[in-house]
Amino acid sequence: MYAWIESPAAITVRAARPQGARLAATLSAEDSRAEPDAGDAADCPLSGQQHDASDELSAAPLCAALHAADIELLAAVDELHETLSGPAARRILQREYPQYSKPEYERLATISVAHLYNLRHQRYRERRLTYNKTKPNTVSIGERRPDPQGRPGHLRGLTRCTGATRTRPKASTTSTLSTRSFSGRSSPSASAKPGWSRCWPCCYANFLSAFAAFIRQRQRVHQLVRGPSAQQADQADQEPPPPQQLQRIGGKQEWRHRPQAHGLRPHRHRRY
Amino acid sequence: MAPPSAGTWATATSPPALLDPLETLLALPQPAQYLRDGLTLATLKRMAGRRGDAEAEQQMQHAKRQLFERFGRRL
Repeated sequence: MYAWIESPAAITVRAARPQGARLAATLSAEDSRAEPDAGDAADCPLSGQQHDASDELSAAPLCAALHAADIELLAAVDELHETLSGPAARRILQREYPQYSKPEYERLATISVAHLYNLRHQRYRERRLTYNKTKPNTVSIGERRPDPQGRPGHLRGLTRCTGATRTRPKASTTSTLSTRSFSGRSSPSASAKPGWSRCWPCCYANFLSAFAAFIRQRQRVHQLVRGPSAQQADQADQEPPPPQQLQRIGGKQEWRHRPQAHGLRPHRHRRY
Repeated sequence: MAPPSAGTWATATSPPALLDPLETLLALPQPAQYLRDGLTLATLKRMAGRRGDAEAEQQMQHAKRQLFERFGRRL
């Protein structure tokens, strides 16, 4: 296609057509508007001023019209103006050649906004590549608070769990299990006399819990003899901590009859 | 500014013209009334035509860099 454009016949045809000049000017200085209208001649005086130069450029391939020096100049302009928008950069490039008489902007004065963005994405990224050093963080890491006065300890972020807050009366595991049948439902008759034939799993669970308590008691005695880890042995009989009930919305509130919607009312249904 | 008629939709929604501050001032009706005493439009145009956009931007960036370098110093 470019061979046909470069051929003298194409130039002759364009010169013969009265609308050809307008077409060439439109191609060389592509407008951001979709279609040219009647006010183009008044709105774009630059395309009229660059008419002769654009005729020369139209005979050459559009991509080859800009040289490497032009791309360098475009990158310099973008760097100076801190990468303005495409129309603003194009307006600046248009003003440089006819208004301030700078010949190095002659070819850039006819660049289109679309071509400007293409060049920004493709050509001169290597030139405008800048590296910034990673800035140091002002927040100190591992700061010891309060001031330890030269003594060890007081590391920020470390808290000692003494277990003092877990002291509770001894677990009523046995009574709880005895009042429940195998299906998990409470039954007054079963709590009164849990027979072996009715709730043998409960009896088996009672045996297991009693055996575990016996093992823990023995462990406690041995650890008391050793000394330093006696505190951990004291905590051995304690009931395990309750699950984190605050992890769900609603906290310790009881579940309602619609548990899937408990505490979650972002969108209320309007009922008429 | 009158609202656009039905046939001028494309004109009404076209992007605004890109003007520099001097061109914006000159676009006002009778811009000379907004100037300070002793300043004329010819003076402004002569000052604006003295250097191009890129050259003026280069000077402005240099001045800005010098100004910002002073901020880090301890007096």
